[in-house]
Amino acid sequence: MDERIANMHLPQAVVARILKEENITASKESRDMMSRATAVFMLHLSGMACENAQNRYHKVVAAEDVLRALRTLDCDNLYSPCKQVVEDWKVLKAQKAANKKRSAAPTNESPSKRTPVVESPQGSAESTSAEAE
Amino acid sequence: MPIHSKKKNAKQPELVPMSEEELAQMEEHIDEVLKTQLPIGRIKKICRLDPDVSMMNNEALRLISKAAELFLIELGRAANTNAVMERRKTVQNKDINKCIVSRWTFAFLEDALDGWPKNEPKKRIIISTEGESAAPDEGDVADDSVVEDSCADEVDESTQPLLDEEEEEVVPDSVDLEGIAEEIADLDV
Repeated sequence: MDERIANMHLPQAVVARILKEENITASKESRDMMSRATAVFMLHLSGMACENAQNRYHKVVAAEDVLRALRTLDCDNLYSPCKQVVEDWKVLKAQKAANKKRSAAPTNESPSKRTPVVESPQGSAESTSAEAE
Repeated sequence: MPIHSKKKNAKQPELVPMSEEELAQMEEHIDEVLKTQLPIGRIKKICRLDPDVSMMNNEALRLISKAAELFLIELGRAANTNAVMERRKTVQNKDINKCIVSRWTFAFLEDALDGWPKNEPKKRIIISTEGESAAPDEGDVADDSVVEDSCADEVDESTQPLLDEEEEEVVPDSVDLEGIAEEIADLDV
């Protein structure tokens, strides 16, 4: 177990490249230190996310648990892009689910409980139903 | 599940139906934002080191990888700021230590960075007391700053005093002796 922890590190080349892109010159020792720090961070974050998941009675750690864990770290540079991604994901999932429903039940044009049908895309709804038929 | 759908109804009153193309575009956009150079497989291995973490969602893993890259950049920038304050261009360990002490975001790193073995080159054992590097054959891992190899700690401490200079090959003397013996035998014949 200790050996594995000791071997836990990110590839040096990748870390070097990332730092170079930010115009950060760092000695090799400090680069190594930073990659170790990132690995520790990952472990820490996944641990916190796991706790969040357990508190919600989930077995599988989900993106929202990770997001919550990020929030507790109180670092906006980390938190806000990830929050945006998670929100986009939610919208994406909802859209996909809605699309599936729409394509699965083409004749049923009455508004479902989830999606209030907006007037203009009724044309598209009708056209998809026509294609299905 | 019913709880989630109620929440969705509460937070998303209007769901403008999007075409497949728009969805694909959105997905592409998300993928680009989440793009990291960090290897996801390695990240998965690291996260699995925690015995409590049993299963992770794919999305969660990608999010962690992005967060890790952002963290690295954040740490790098903070350390760089410290270095610049002392009129240095190169970041050094003390800059990182300063960050850890001063910012709460990095506080969890407090005692975490001290006892690590240095990144060792994969094949060769560097036994040097002066901190000089071995032949840089190992492209990706060779490290000038390696002072001692962790393997060296475990294996042959007794040989350390014998080998003071940097050694390119860990070839035991017996091989040379045998070669010499053969040559002498040839000469005799």
